[in-house]
Amino acid sequence: MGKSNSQDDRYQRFVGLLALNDQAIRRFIRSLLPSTQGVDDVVQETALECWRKFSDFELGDADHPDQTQGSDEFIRWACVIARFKVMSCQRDWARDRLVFREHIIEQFAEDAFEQIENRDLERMALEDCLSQLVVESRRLLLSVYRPGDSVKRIARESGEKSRRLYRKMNGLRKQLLNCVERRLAEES
Amino acid sequence: MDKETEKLIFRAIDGVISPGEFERLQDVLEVNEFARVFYLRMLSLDQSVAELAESARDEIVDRPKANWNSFASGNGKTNTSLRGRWLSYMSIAASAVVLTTLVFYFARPWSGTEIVQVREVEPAPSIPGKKGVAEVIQRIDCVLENEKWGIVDSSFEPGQSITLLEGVVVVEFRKGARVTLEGPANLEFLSDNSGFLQSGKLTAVIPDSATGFEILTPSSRLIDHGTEFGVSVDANGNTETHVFKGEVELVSSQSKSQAANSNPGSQRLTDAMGIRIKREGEVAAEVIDANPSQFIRTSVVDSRRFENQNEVTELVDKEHLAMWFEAGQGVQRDSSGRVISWENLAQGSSNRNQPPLESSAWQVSASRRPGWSENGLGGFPAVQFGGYDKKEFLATTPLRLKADATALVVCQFDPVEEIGYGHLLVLGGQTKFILERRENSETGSYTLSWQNKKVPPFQMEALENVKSVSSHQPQVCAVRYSVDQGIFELSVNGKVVASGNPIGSLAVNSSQVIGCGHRRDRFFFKGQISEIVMYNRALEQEKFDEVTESLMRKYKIETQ
Repeated sequence: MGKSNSQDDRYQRFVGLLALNDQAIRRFIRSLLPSTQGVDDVVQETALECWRKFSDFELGDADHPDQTQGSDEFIRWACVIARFKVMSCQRDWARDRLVFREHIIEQFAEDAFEQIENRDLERMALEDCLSQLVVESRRLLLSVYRPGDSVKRIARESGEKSRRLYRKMNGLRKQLLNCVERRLAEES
Repeated sequence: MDKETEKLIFRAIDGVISPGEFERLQDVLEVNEFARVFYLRMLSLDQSVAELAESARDEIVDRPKANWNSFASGNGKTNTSLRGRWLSYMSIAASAVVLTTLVFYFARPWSGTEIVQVREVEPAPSIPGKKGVAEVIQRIDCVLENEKWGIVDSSFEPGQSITLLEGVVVVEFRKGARVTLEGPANLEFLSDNSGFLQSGKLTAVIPDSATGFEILTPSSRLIDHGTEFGVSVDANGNTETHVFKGEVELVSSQSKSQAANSNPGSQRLTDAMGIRIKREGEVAAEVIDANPSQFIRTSVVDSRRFENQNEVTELVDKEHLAMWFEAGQGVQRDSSGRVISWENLAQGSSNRNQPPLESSAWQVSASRRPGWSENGLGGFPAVQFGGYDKKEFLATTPLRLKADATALVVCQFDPVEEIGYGHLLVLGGQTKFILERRENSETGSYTLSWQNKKVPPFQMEALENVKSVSSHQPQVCAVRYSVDQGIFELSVNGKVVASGNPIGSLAVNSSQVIGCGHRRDRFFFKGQISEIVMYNRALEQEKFDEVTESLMRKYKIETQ
């Protein structure tokens, strides 16, 4: 895609790239923060900074006129900005919330970016692995994300102790991770 | 990877990790690549599962989702969603407006599809027998955050915190470590032998049973090897460690840049050593001298206590003493030399069940602390009231008083500057017993009264001595009081100067005040007090005279 000189075209292109990659950028930012707290703030800061510096990206992108290539470049570029934004926000937050040490963030940033590149494959593998779980296990695993359902509720219904179910759930998570990694290895 | 690390990772991903656990997790993640990869992969999986769960929820409720791709296609196409229309409109706006819009737009970009994660905290393991891993065993003029909301609990489970707004609390961990926390401060209980000091100051006394006790801070980890030490954490997470006795091992949590400029790994600190560790900056650690006066300690027994037996007042009937404060013994002072606590030497004065805990008079607020003079009255030390902003006082730990009393105070009054009252000692509950000096600058004379007040109905019996009391000279002001025996006598230097009728029992179990009125906001005393002796009974005349003479002899007070 060629560069556009008009402001509205630039903005349309920017929003398009952001819309295509927002989930990946958000996941990258989440992986550098200890919790979901503050993710929205960093995503917002990153988006604004990306827009401010979008002309730099466009200049660097001149050699890759097709959109797909531009999209991958955009993620890498946005994630670099996101990393600095995380560092900056964490310094502000250090007084009143948990923050990762800076060199841990640096290490995470390198590893997390590799994961972003595999996200689509991982999603497919996950769906496949989840479908192989028995219904009860799948419900237990998803219960923490579903309003109205909970480990405590399952404990009440099944007569099992909550603590035992939590342990079982963590076991299922590991099982699921192994399954996904096996699938990804088979794909590659 | 060990089970503990795995558990920490799951707790971090579930958003229920405590500050102390988080520090431990970071220690592992720093050095263990496998743990780091496992954390990131598990986190990624968690996000994917959450997205799938959300998709399933959308399918059920058939909620329309924002079609981001329609924005990407952009030119010439019609965006049917509200967001799409918004963007199309904004695409022709000026860049400044666009930026403003983006703030709004990305502040809650996923509000329509936001995953509401119903996270649950895994219950903490319970310890059979005793409740919790630590409990408050002493409170000194303190305000706890949870009590502002009506939650009163003195024991703590792992992961729970104590937030102290002001004052001092003493907490005992199950393994025996005794921690004195000075407000404002926040301490999280990690286990029966470890805690995380997020902010504030503490001192810790570690018995043999608790060797290996750990205190974590945002920038360091302290491992005790049988000792007493103090730790302070400032608002930036910088930590100071001061070793008073024994040995402490310190592990710093340094960044790469700091580690390059200092000696990484653990360090051993011994007696009188201290270290300052910065959370950020080029120079990570700085060795300093330990300074105990920066901390409040509840375990202080003056090493000079009773060292010189000639300086100790000869008292009779010591078993009936409720209060015995002597300014040369058990005085803890801050770095400005002002009195933090004054130990009550009376045996059996404590009303608590823990004998090792000392009964003392305290002032936890630095601005209200009285001064201390080594050469006070008759060449002996004295506590100085009114030397700063004239609002200094001390309050005792709760004392169990009986119906009758005999009290003697060795004191000296400062010259009067204005008309008013200065309370040396306030005792009792409903029936108040107040030893005060009335100050009258117009006449230049001083009167001394020993009142007892009972409300309701209000009654007051004030004894006033007819002779003026001199300033610049120490004296023994005393009173004997017994409802049963009908004794209510005020004396100065052994001579009865006034007498009256007792009104009611003084029996109470509460804090008593030295140096101001019982409400602690007025009637501040200005002068020096070297010794306070109080019995839980009215001494016989002979014994009373004996104690008075002993005090006058010691402080070189001549009979007038």
